[in-house]
Amino acid sequence: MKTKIYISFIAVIAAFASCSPRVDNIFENSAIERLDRATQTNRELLISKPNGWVLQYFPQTGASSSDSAKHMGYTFLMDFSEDGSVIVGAPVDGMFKTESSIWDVISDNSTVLTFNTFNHIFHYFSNPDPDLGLWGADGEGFGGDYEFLILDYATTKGRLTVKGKKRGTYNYMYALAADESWPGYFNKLHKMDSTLLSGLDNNTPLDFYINEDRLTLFNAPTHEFRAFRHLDDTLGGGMYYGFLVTPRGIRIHDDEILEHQIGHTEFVLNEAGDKLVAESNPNMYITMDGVDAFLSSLSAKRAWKADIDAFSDTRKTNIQKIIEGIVSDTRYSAATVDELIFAGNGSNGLILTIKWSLTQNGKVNPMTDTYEYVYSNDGNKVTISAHAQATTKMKNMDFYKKAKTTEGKNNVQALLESFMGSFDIEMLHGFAPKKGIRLKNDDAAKTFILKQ
Amino acid sequence: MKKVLFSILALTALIMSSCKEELNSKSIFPYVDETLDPSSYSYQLDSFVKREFLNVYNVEFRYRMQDISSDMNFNLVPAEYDNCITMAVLTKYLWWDVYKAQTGSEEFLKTYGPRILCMIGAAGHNATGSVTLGVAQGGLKVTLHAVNYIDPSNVSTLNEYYFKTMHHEFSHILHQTKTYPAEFRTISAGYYKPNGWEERSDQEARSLGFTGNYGSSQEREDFVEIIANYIVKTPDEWQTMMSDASKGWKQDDDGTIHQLKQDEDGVDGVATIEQKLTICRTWLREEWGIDLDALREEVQERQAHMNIDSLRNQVLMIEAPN
Repeated sequence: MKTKIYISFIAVIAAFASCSPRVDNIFENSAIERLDRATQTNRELLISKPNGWVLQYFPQTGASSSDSAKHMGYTFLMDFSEDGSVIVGAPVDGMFKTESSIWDVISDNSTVLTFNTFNHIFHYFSNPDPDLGLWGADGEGFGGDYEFLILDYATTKGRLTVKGKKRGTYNYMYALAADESWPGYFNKLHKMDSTLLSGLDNNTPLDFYINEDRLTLFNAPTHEFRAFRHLDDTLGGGMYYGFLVTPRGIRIHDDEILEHQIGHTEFVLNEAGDKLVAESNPNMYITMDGVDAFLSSLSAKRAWKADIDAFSDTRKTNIQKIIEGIVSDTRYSAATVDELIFAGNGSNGLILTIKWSLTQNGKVNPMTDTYEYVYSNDGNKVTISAHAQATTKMKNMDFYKKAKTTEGKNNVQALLESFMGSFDIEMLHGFAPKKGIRLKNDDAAKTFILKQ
Repeated sequence: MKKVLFSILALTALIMSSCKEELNSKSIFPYVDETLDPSSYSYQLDSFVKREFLNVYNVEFRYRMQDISSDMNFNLVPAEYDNCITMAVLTKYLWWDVYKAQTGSEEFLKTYGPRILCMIGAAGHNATGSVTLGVAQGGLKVTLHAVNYIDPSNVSTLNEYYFKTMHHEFSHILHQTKTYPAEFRTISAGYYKPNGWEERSDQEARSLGFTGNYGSSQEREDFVEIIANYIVKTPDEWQTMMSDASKGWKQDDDGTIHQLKQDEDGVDGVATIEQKLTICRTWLREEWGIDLDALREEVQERQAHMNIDSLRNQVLMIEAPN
């Protein structure tokens, strides 16, 4: 029996040993040769763009429970030269600046793009003491990377993806158009930033639709969204997600927001200027609800100025008749309505301040009257109603008192009542409610425009 | 049974040995041309460090940062190219050339010098608030931090942050090769404070027989701080330090330092420092053939007559061949 086992054992060994040791290579070249080739290819790619590259850079990734400039995005322009130098350009303290330093593509964990001598513009975000205070720095600064794994070059999009070696951030590089000036590129970013964010307050909510789901985003002007699930309590908390402004819209760094996968995608401003639509999914977009934007501003006691020139003829007639009455029936030689300003009182009160002027003996006397309404959220409309003491409040106004005649007083009352009713809120400038919203009533004569 | 086993073994060996695997004579590593490219942005500095460090001493002056060769516990950044020029010429002038002059040839540094000199832009920030200005590793590598802060016009900062660090780290390299005398270990045993040395003021540390608070952290730092301070401090500065060592000091909670009427720590600071200095002096002479006092004189002479622009011109005047 034992002999049979030995024979079998020998036979098995012989069978295996007789196999040829030659194994076909999966790859034509060795790993080191392939790595070297990849290094060279990437180096040539970086040098090949005559006007350099745009780097959309995030120092650190990950949702944060507090806001931090470490999570925001920053844009650099970079021109890689064959001599081993790179020119980095970006706005520094509001001024566009450039600086040269050294770059390389090295074989490390993979092919790695490294900026291996210090550049005051770029390494600011990886410097443990960004303000160059040797003592007292926290030793982390923005904590960003200066070495990046080169992951992928998507030729159709012209996009090179590089991943921060230490922090793992996903950063995109795009070739800059040959005819684009470097300061001009940042002007474009500034313009888009202004289009999207200058008309917002931190408490202006944005609606983020992700297929069937919906999130609410605050703090857009800080370049770091504070995100909540729709209808969650938004008084405190929330998670922060940094983004950067691109020439076409914005890019959020994180691929997941409040457990919703969004991918590393750019959100592009649509032609109407009222939606930032994910490039990868048309059902994923950020927009603004006019009612929410208006009501949140009233909660924050923001003031809105009525566009008097855009008033309906009816309302203009009311004002004209009030003025005519004051001039004809009193000692004043002229009267003008200068401004009508609406502001929230912090609860559900809407204060109308009328700034007007009376001229007597050639001297112009500024006058100010206030009148209070109440407002409510009527689903997709805002309803403005008379205050419980509307009549008393009206009669306390100089504006009412000076309109001595019945007709004059009726016109004051008509003017004040013309702001009551249910109004749709239309955004006149996309994401910039501050630049103008239209409060639209079924009675066209009541429709009016507010601006901040 | 044994015969059967031997048979199996022999047969297996025979079969295996019959396999023939031909190795490809071509190297798997791509050819790397070490010739400097005259059109390179960094040609001048690369030429200088190749000529002065690599060709002569087989030392790599590594100014392009490789994070894998740095201390990953710190967040660090590369050194600025222009500052690396300054560091390269100063390293040669105040370190390499000094030892060459003192030992009479290049052989000493060829044999015992570090093989790699790393320049790092940022300081290593420790959790305690202190900063690490340099690191010596395994007798082979010296890393100098905070190169981005170099200010050639500020001699005292140059001395404290860079020159002292050079001699400090090189002394580490030397004792990592030949350890220091056991006698040294006994002198301040019980007074070292590896954790919380930053809480001691320099004056308090000196009164205890150290050259400063960092020297009081552990004996190997004490050893190299004695050498480094003695080399770079002028006689007046050294005397001021010894004067501190002769007195008693107390530090308030707000950091204010008061001189006490009497030195109450029970240590004769001056005698202790002098005892340590004697050991260092003897060790350098007997183990390394180096005269510490002559070395000090050479360094201070060089520091006193240093012309940084002239030194930098050794790099900046290098012309690329056509």
